[in-house]
Amino acid sequence: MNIVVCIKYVPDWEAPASQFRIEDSRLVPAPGIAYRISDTDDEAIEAALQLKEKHGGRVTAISLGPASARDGLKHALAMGCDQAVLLDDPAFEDSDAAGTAAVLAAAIRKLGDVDLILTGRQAADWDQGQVHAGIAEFLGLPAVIPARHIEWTGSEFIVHRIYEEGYEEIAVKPPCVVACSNEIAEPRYPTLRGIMAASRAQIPVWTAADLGIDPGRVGRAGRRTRVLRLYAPQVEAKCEFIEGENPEEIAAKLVQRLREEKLL
Amino acid sequence: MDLPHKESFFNIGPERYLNYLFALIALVFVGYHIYRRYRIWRLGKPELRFDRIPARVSLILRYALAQLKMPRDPWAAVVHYGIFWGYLLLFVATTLDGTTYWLKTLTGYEVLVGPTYLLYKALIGNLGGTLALIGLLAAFYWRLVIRPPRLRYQTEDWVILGLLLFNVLNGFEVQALRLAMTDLRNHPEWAYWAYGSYPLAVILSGLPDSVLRPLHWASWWVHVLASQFAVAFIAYSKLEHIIFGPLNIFFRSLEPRGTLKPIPNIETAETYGANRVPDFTWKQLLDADACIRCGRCTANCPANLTGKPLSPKKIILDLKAEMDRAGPLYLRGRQPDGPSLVGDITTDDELWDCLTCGACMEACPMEIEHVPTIVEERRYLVLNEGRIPRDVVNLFNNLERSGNPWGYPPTTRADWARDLGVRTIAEDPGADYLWWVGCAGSYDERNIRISRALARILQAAGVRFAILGPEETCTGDPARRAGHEYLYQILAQQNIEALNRYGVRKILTACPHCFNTLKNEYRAFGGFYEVVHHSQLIAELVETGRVRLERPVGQRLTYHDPCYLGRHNGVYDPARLALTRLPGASLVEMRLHRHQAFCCGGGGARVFMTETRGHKRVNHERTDHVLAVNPNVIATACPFCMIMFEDALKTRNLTDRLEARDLAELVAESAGLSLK
Ligand code: SF4
Ligand code: SF4
Repeated sequence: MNIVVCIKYVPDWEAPASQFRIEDSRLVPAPGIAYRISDTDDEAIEAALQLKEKHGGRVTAISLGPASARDGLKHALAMGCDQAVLLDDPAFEDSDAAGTAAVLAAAIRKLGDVDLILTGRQAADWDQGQVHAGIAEFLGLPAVIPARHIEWTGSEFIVHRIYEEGYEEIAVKPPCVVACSNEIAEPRYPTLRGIMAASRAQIPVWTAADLGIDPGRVGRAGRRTRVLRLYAPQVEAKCEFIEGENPEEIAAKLVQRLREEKLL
Repeated sequence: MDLPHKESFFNIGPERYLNYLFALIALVFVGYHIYRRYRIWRLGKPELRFDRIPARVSLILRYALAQLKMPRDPWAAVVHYGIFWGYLLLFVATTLDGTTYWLKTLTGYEVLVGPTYLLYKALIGNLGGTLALIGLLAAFYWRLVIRPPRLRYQTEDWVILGLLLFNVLNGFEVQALRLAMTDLRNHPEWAYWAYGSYPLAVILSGLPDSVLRPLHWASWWVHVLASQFAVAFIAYSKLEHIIFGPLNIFFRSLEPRGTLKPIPNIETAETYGANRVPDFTWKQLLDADACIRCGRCTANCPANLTGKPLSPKKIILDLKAEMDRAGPLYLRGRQPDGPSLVGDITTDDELWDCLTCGACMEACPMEIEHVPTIVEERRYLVLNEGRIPRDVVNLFNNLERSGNPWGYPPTTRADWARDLGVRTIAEDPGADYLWWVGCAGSYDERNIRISRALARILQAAGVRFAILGPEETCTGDPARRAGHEYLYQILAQQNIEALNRYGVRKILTACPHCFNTLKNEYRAFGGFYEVVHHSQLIAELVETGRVRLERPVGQRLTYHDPCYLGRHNGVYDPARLALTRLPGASLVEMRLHRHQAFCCGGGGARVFMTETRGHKRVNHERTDHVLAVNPNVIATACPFCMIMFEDALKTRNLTDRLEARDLAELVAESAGLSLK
């Protein structure tokens, strides 16, 4: 089974707001801020590795990004992915979701022979949750978004798709796109052997020309969406202690307060 | 000749020489056993333990001969000193006896004669027998009546005690029979000197020779056989500790307790950590053979005492069982399969529960080094298998990404000092001390208060110091103790590079974990510094009057020894000295203090892990020790101890009667400095 995992390498989303500046509706992280594989993308890698360990095959990690995304790909290799490809070209810069999906789809097409494409449900930086659908669209594949469980029966994938009240079980034939939610797997910590192998691995870079992409259709030039305004919201936090004679009383008062705030 | 002397081989014919044959057979058994174990140790990796021989000889004198750890348990002391010294004297007596006999036979010259002989009899032979008898009787009483839970009670233990008791009694009997036929008849005044067997000799003296002679002959042979059997039994029982114990003590690490060794050639190694017998060093394998199963380690282990599955004794004995099972197979060039030592036999949970506090090593009479072995097995879990608890994965990720255990931005590391006029080493390269603030002192709210108090003390005393600021990252100690040697080495190299770039010589730190790492473990990577703990500097400032303690603080203080300051580095007194100088305060000691102090629960990276196992949390247990002496302040000198105590005081609603305060805060307050 050949699996491609699309990952995004993003500034640590848990860093405090003071670590970011906004310039021309663009987010500028402070120098020295940590980057990491986006939340749920690492779960997608883990899900891919678990499928591979059970059924054999190869896992390829791809990432569209600046050269620094190489570190994210190295981490994916260290976790156990078999190969990684970096998609990097000045023409890709500032792509919106559609542009990103177009580049990733082209790369997946170039990889050929793919049974399953895994992504995270949404990247931790912009939280748009569009790229997976875009990839499916460009490749003309079915997509299950978002998924909390996936297994392979030998002829099709059984995927548990999350919706508000629970989940539905969907059987889907390969190849297909599945966007992973964080319940799908607990990402492993790479072993040192993995880290060492990854540090020696060569990661090829594919450019627009390699992928046969018209530079005018991706990147800044190809944007079909535009950010109107980007700002940091003022969050006001207030702390209130609920007091009472005993836990029961405190709990009762808490419920009452939460109702007052229309939180319950 | 009418001087007191011993008639060697009295009543024993030429068959006497068979005695030597039996001794030889027994020695062959023992020798072969040592050789077999030696080959298994040789399966282990190399480790340098042949340096500094005089220091090692002194270890032997102190811990193997004088057994300085024994008195910590009075019963064990009576039992073990009795049996050990008793049998040692008996061994000397036998050797002297044999030597005298051969000297006399070959040269006609007799040494043990006259008063010398009488003294020999009284102060060597009979004293030995008496001491051994006391020790053995005490052992039976201890094991049958007192029944300390730390001991095991297996057939082997009873066989050994029975055998030793039999030999002592039998020895007295043989001597009594001989006295009844010789001295008692000719020179009763000589017989008193054999006070151990004298009473029996008097009783037996009424019997005719026709009974005494054959009885003596038979008893003598029983004595020879039983003694040689006991010698041979060394090879088949825990008696092997008579040999492996001193050997292990001799080869003990001379580094400060708990200093860990780097994985050599980590870049090219094929496996990491230890799981199979050849993964351990020969010394770690020898450790396992030296274990006498006394259970002192486990009886002092804070994790075990709070109901966690970890037992340091089991860790060592699991390894021994693995050596017994797999060792011979490796020697035959086979790769044994079957259960894995780490995971199947020693469980992951056991390994993760360890606080690396070193209480086990401190208690072990054989100087077994549990902590390095446990960390080596953790390395296997982390680096080889990737079997890591969630909390520890978070810890590693944070250290990797942000250089501190909580994932705070590295750029804000020095924010705590922003308004204090503290300079960085880049701004003041000539500072006398580089103050290593550490992650807790830089980011943790509670510990920032301590850093600020210390900064004010240093400023008031006119100490010229500087910090690294954002160039400082975690020393790597939590990564290392959690088994991630690679991450540790990356952080260590980064820090050493920064320190050496500024030509730092003298480092001050308020964190015992940083203290230990900077002082003892950075050497292996080219970082050589003089490291001072803040308790040491503060004590000096107080003693020399550079800081004047004027205002009363606290009334009843107790001091909690941080493991990495005390047990691991032997620094016990400076904090106590400063605390006793606080006006109006009295220092009370907990039952477990100094080298016996009980860990706060935060060591070995456990401060970053949730405590899920056991019937009680370690910090709650330690807080009970505090409550037992009823102070109003727990004085600490370690940021992790502080975190653990604060947590315990809050979760147990004790904050209105008990406070946890760092030494620096107490001193700053007493000196009238601001605590804000
Ligand atoms: S180091 Fe401490 S916690 Fe670990 S086994 Fe030894 S006594 Fe127990
Ligand atoms: S390791 Fe040491 S303290 Fe523990 S049982 Fe063995 S000999 Fe006793």
